[in-house]
Amino acid sequence: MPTGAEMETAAVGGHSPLALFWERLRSDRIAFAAFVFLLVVVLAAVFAGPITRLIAHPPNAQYTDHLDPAFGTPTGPSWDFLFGVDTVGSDVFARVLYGARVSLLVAIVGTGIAMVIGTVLGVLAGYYRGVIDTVISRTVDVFLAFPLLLLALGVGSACSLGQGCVNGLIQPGMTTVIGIIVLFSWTYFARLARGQVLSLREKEFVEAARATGAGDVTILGREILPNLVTPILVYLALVIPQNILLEAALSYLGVGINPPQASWGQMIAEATPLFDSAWWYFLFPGVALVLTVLAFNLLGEAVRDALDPHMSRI
Amino acid sequence: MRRLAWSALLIVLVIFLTFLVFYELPSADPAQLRAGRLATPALVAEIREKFGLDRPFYEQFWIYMKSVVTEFDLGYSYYKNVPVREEIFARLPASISVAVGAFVLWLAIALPVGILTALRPRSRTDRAVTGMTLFFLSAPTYWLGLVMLFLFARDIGRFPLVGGAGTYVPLSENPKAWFESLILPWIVLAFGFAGLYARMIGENLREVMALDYVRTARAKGLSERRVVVRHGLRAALTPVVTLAALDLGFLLGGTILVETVFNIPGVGRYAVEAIQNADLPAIQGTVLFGAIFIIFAVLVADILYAVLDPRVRY
Repeated sequence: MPTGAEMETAAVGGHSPLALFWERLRSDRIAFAAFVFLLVVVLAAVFAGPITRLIAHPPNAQYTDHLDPAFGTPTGPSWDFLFGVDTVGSDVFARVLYGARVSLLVAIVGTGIAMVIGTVLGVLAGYYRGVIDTVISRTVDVFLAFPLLLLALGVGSACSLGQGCVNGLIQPGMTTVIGIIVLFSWTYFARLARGQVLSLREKEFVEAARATGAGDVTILGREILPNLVTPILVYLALVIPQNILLEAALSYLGVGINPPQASWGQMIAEATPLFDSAWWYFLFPGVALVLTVLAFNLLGEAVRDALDPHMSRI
Repeated sequence: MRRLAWSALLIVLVIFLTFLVFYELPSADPAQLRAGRLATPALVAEIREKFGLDRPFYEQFWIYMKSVVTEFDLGYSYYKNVPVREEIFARLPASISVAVGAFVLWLAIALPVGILTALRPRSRTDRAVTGMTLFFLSAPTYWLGLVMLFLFARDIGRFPLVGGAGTYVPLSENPKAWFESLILPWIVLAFGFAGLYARMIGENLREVMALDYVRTARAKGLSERRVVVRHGLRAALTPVVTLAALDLGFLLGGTILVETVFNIPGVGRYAVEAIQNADLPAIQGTVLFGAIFIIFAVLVADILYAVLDPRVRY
């Protein structure tokens, strides 16, 4: 329910999506907390280098003297090692920070590329209809028929053997994960864009533009694309956390980010054999992962409520 | 009929896509992989000849396709040199136990909670469900599984209640031990979905309860319980059926991760072991098996939908 003040501002009219979002954020404490948390995560990821130099250790250095002298097992949190050390004596805190960098980079870059490809294909399908639409829509249907994680595993393992795949264009590690994310996320955006354009192209303002002699390029760029920005942004906020989880799952199963590069999923996998004794090793990367995804989801819900109250949950 | 034809076409396309991923993507030579590390060039050449790996792409695809369709032959494992199909079938009961149990639990939670939140919107329960859902959707199943084991497993848990990892026994051997070993995996898999569906059922039900025919039912003097269950719920649940079938794919993906954490000898763990052994035919077989399974599940759901909602025709 909009409060009195909100209705008043709505009556004043034209608010940019950004202003709407900001207003919502200020009134919603949970969304605001999520936003601040994400800001911290992003900063931690960007400045992982200086931070670890200041209060931690390089992520790949091995401090074997911090392993238990009797058993060679990891030791827990201390002032020197805030989150303890892992099986080879590396600083878990530093690796969690560098893991944030990988998670965010892979999910944001992958989802971003998928968004561009998906939107372009979806717009083409919705605007030109006919054969183009049939081909694109059916391709989307085929992709949606696949069990996502299984095929991602397949592609991941096919690309993680030897010199990568597609003639070495896609190397094991980050590019493979980004490739997988693009491969499986463009369908969401294509479907969304197609649906929106199908209804937009029948609107009066498009007809008016056409009547004034505007060509397809002008109509698409000037009339249709601006109307797509909001729903796509909403989707973006909901798909990014999914892809953070996908990257973590792939790395957990050993076809994503490879050591020594740090990734939360891979750290959880490495912590699994000794999780009952070295609780800090599985707890901290897991908590970082859960909180980041949760913050994205909370923020995504807030963005959706603020910008597009009619859209249902995916 | 058109629906059936589409499913058949989908299966062919899915076979093609799997073939493409596993034959074209890897840069490694399949004959070399099958021959093993110590193979002589003569042996590699012989294998290439025998499996038709020297023939052109389309001929290889035809051979593959024919053996899948006519004999459901999923190829031979590199690692163990046994038919992948047999390996999958042997592990199927465990995976079905995990998935079906989780599915039952998921609906058993979602239905009552959904009805409750619909009848008392914006109540404390409603908000608690929203919060729990977001948390369980944000936490990866494998990490949640570790936390559960850390807390509740009989061998290492802080509050030993149920069997831990690797205690799975088939249902036919010992139903009690079977149930105890699976209760944690079910919870981990089902909770996120249960919350999501509770919200969805709640939203649908709320909309339906505002419709005219529900008012008519009330005006006829029916009891509130009868109005909700017979008139409201039926209409509210129909769209959920289709979505549940689509989400089976996610459930299947979740099963892979859960089987890995809890050490359950199912198809998912087979796939993960195959990845670790670089056993491409085994991965390929599981991917294809999963995809075909999902296509059938969606088909069944569509037919069910048409039965439940007489307005739908295919």
